Amino acid sequence: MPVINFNVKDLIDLIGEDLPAEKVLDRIPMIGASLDKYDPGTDEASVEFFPNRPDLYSVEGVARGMRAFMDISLGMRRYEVESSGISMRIEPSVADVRPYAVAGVVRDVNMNEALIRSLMELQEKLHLTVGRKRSKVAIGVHDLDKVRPPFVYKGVDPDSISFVPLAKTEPMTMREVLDKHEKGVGYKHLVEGKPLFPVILDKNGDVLSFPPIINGALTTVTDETKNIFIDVTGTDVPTISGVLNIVATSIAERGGRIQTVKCVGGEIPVTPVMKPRVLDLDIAFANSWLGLSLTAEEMVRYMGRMGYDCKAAGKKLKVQLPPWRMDILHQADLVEDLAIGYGYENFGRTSPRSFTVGSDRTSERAADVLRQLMVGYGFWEATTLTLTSKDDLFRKMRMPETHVVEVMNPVSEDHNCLRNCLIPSMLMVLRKSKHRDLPQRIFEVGDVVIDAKRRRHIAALSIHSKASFTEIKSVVEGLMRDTSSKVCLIPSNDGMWLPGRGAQIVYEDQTVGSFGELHPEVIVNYEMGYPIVGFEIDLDHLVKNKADKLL
Amino acid sequence: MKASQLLEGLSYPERKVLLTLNQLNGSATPEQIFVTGGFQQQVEVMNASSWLQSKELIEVRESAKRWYSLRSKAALESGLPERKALDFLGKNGNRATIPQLEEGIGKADSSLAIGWLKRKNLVSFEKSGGPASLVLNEAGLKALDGDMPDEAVLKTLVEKDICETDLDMAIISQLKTRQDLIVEKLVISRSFTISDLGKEVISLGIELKEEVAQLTPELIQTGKWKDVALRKYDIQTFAPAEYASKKHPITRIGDEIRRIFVQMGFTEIEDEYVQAAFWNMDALFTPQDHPARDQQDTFYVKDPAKMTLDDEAVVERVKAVHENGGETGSLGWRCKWSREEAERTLLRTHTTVNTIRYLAKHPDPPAKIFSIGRVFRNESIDATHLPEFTQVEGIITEEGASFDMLVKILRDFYSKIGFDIIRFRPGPFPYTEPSLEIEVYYNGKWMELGGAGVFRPEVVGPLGVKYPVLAWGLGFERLAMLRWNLKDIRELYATDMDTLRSSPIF
Repeated sequence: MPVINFNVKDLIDLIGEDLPAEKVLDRIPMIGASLDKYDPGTDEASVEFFPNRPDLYSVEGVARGMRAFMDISLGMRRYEVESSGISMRIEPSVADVRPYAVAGVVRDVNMNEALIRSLMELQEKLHLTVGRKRSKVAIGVHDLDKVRPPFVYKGVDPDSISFVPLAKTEPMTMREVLDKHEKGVGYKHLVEGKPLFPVILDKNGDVLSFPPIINGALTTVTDETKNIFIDVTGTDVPTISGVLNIVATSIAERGGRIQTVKCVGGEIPVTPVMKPRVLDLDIAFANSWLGLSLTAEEMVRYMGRMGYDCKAAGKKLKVQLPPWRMDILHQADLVEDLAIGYGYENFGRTSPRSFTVGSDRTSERAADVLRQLMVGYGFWEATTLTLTSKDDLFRKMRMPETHVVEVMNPVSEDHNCLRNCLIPSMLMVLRKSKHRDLPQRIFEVGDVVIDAKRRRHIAALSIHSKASFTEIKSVVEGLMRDTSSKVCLIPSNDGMWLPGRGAQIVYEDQTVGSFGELHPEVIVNYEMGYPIVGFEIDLDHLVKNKADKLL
Repeated sequence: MKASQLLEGLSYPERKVLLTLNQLNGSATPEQIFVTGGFQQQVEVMNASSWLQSKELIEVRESAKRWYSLRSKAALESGLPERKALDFLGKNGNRATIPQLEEGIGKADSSLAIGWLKRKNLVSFEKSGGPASLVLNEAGLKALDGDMPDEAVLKTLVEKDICETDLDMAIISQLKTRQDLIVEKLVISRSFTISDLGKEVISLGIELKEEVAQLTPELIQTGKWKDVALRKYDIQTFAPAEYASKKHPITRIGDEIRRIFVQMGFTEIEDEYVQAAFWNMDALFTPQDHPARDQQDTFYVKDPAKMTLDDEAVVERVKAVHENGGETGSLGWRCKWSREEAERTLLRTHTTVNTIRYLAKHPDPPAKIFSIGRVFRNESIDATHLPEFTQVEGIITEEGASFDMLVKILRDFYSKIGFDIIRFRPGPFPYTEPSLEIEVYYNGKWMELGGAGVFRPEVVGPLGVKYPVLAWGLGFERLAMLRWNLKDIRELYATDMDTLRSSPIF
């Protein structure tokens, strides 16, 4: 989740009310965030905001949110919007590579270090989250006075235009940017292979931006910048429009006038669209969802805390959605904000009313009984991971390779598949305990996966200098006696057992497991040097129909 | 402990050692005690002494002394090289040139011998015309007939080892410079002295009588136990550690959680680890371009790479909800929904997949269900992360279910676990509205322990569930680590045997 870094004094100045830092920091989590750290020395705070609130990814956005939430100014923040007289033509040639674009202007910006920092961070977080690493959304912020409108957004031959990209001094063609510029290398997959690359040019053909890769150095925003031009390009119109609103209003929080741009040939003719969408909130729905009985007036107040302007209209609340709130899909989203505005600390009075009889799973009950038996036989329970490696399952165990569920993108070669038996993982426990006193006796009741289905197995191992077939046979036969399972034994040819010292356990005409003395090669493969005996049994098979009823 | 109690607890050998020491004026070596006390074995003395020491009745002094012995007697048979040279010079008129000496006793010995003769100042060099000659001086002549001091020492060493206190260390350091001749060994010797407490005990009068330690079957069966003195033990005495085999801490916590759920009227469910993305993601209204579906977060399966979606009606409704909100009143994600993406096989990333599949089959209220199961996330392994961990999840749906009810259940549930002080704040979960995060107050600080929420209408709508579904989950390992005070999550799944042996149950 995105972590936003800001200076708390700056935040309080932006909120516009003299508040103690502690009080603000105390309330921020309650709007939906997690305070990572705060250094009272530097007054710097790091706060994690949630993926559904990209409008809070800047200190300006947080100030707007907290101003309402802390009852300083309830309801929706309004920004004056006027026309800039600037137009940007969107040509059909971008359809194949990056079809949509919107733009906006903020004039007479109150530029300072804090805004530059915040703007950089805001773009970075938006690119990463709602922008899906720039594939869905890319933002360009420019010094408007360095270029001449009107602008054009079009697709061009990658070798036809060269410009000096941000953070460089030499001009490069667009194709060269992909190979030579760090951002080009990082994001080339978003345009590579397309015959035409997207570009935003001014009247003179100067490059503002090569979305979604890099801006031109020409329009770099500095502390001298007075007027800002914002472009947002991408693959989804509502998302780029919402992102434009977030960026424009964040800048305007520090002063300045938002102005619209005429997007000729665009999906939305004039942007940014700052007219609030209206969504109905059904009062009865909200109350029953939350388990409250609030009046319309109360709801208006709590929604005001979350930055909404609402009006009661019969059984409904007409809710105006701030244009920077792009996460509202359903009235349930409003219900959440209503709950936050009401205060999470005020919930928790209703008990469930339905009568239900609780029960655990039969197989868990069976597992528990078997665990008790193994403890009685003097074995310690181990728990291990289901993820293991084919090397552990087959080569090290001297077992022929069979189908197991393999992971396409394993985190490491030690965890590239799901196990089909328990003993290999348990051998790792013994290996880890190599320098501990012997004898060591361990068991596990755990899940294995065969044919992509879970099976519950039980396995045990005993390691010491006199570990013997007889020792483990006594335990296996004891378990069979304890579980009233009539089994017969036939010699096992499994490679993991020493020839002539392994036995298959046959129950109801099916092999349900085996036991014996581990082959010395297996012991050596797991880097140990003492005899090991063990067993592994399919527990599901053995206990079926046994553990679910008393009689 | 009082002297009289100490006296009572003394064993026969302890009494005997104490008395013998007293007889030896309060201080002696183990050997002296062994001889004087008439013990059968030296080990009796040592055992008794260490018990006496642990009871602070005697003090043990240790001193380390160097002892010397010959590496081999053979080296001495032909004598030291300078002795060979002395003998040769004596026979040669008390003088010889170097070549003569080399011829007489061999080249190797002669160069060693010349060095030592010079060092011991037994010869002088004369150079008159021809080659230089070694001439025995006065000391040299004297050495012809008697042992040099180092030879005397070596002769004694042939007989026995000698302690540093009985030796001229100047000679020893000279001998040490010769290769492979003598061996130095550090020997620690002990002596025992009666402490003040020991003296007090002795002053009470130690009675030396045979006592019986072990109560044998024979003593019991013959009735002889009435006639013998059964020694009283010091109950503070060290006993070796015994460890009970037991269930793993993870299992014990699981059993507890299961018990709590069942007490609250919940029924346990489980499902497969290997699932179609549909049930794990799409049915939870996770958009198909959501980062959680990336390979960096989720494990996808090679074979079977695809799973058939078995409930066509649900699939159609989920597709509609993604594309346009379906019948839920939602905007939906307004993107084309891909069936292919939904059919991809993955390892479940949460137990919520169990819940969703359960609700799809049993949409009618009420339902109170829970899961405790392993889930998989593409995480590198470190002290706080594993690619596989256990999730605990509870679900309730009934007529009148609400967010307020959820908070109430959470208070009850967490209180049963042992967290009486908890608080809630908004949470980030994409498939619940409202979402909340649970913080518990434990060991003097607040910490995050679980999340909860009411499933979005876009989630429950397609499943045909009528009432709000309240869900919560918490990290099981986190709980186990708190409970057993572990710092490293890996310890739970590759536990060292000693940790298993010594883990407490409370």
